[in-house]
Amino acid sequence: MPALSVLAHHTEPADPELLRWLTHTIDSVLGLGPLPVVLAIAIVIAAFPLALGLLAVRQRRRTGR
Amino acid sequence: MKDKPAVRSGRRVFYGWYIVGAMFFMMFIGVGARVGFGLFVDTWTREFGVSVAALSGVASAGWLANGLSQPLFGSLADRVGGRIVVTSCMLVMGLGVVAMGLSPSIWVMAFFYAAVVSFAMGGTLFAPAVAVMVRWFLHKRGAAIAVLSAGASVGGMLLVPFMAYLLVLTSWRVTWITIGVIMVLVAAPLLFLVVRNHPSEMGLEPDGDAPEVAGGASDARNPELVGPLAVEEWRDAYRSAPMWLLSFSYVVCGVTTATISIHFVPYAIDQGVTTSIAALAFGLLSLINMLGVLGVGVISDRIQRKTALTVIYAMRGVAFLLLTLIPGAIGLWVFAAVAGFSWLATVPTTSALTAEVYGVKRTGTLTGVLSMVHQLAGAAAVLVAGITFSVFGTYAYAFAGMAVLLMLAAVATWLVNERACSARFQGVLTLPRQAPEGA
Repeated sequence: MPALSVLAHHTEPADPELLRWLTHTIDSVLGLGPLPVVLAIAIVIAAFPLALGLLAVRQRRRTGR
Repeated sequence: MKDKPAVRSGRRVFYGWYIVGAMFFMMFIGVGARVGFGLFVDTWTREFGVSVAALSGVASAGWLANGLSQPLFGSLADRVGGRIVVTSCMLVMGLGVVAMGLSPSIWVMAFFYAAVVSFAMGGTLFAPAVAVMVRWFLHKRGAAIAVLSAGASVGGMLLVPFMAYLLVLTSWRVTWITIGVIMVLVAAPLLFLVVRNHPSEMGLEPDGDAPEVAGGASDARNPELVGPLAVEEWRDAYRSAPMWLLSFSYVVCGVTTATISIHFVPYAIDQGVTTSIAALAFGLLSLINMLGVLGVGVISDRIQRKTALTVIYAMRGVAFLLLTLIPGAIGLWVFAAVAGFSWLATVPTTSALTAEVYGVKRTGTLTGVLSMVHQLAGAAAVLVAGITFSVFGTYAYAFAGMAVLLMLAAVATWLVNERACSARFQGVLTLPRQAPEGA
């Protein structure tokens, strides 16, 4: 599927084979199902912007800007 | 380049790094979602009864829209400021992604993907982001752009498994709607809340440095380092040699990265290597790529950027040569290890050098133009490499040709007389007439 791979700068579409290997490895190492993995990544995705936003706002308030 | 003493209150982090963090997340979610597009092809072919070729056409249309929109949004960021561009584009992209998840047919989804999501995505990539970064950072420009660039790599590594697992748990519609909701409710507000176009909006200086203006003057507006080739209009940059040299090398970058992203696995199969080994080698390349971009970004702030670029292109050229000369799996692993360091490292270095030679005023536009030619050249190269393989029955000629092109790119970047034309070495601190434009 060549066209899918030229979407933009230095990014390649997910390779299904690599992804299967990755998910299989995650499953076997962690011994978890899809739901805990989704929740764990979701927490990271939510926590990073939340923490960043709070820290930025706190700094702006402290400096009065 | 003379470093100025930094003025910070206590242990406070320079606010520019918060903006880097917000843009890191922007790249993470945007690029991650795009990379994840490939996950859904099997599902869509089954559900909608369309061919893989038709979906490839959709992806190509999206790719074209994305490439063409980057100079437009870069120019807009130069004129009205990057904050409104990245925030509104993230919002539109998120709504488009939600609409994709709700689409009743493949053609409605194709419209939203190509005309809305991919087009708006151009406003969340390097052009507007770099336009903001170069205004916030002088001495640590390379490092700042490198960190946000790494967001693209992390997005591929973290968001794609997230989408894959979510697809297993739910459906493709729920997966896309979830990503769209994150864009609309998390990423867009974060960008609006954190990003500021220019440090002067917060009474700060680039890098958090002490105010220092030619003649000892002080002003609420930030002084800017202006080099001898600084331009008022982006077209003027193409009247001088450095812009052509940088454009040529960036085209070679696009040619080589796009070709490998498509033809790496077919090449491996041609060499008798299994697909999974090839995919793993490519995974290694992606991992090293993230380390490489961060390392090169930091190093390029301490040496001449053209030196870093020369090493990057030469290294990649050697990697292509080794790929041609070493047969089998060993060649793939060697290539992944050597080329990985150079893969994304061209972005912060080229962007920062362009800003330092031509000034920050049109950096967004110039970065957008460079990104566009990078993509178009990459697409053309993919076709040429495929034709070469069909004609000669081997990738050796295509890869050897790319090794030559990369060596020429290394020479081209070395020919940029950075000490004579970069604001880092020849810059004069001047107050902008209006800072920032339109802000």
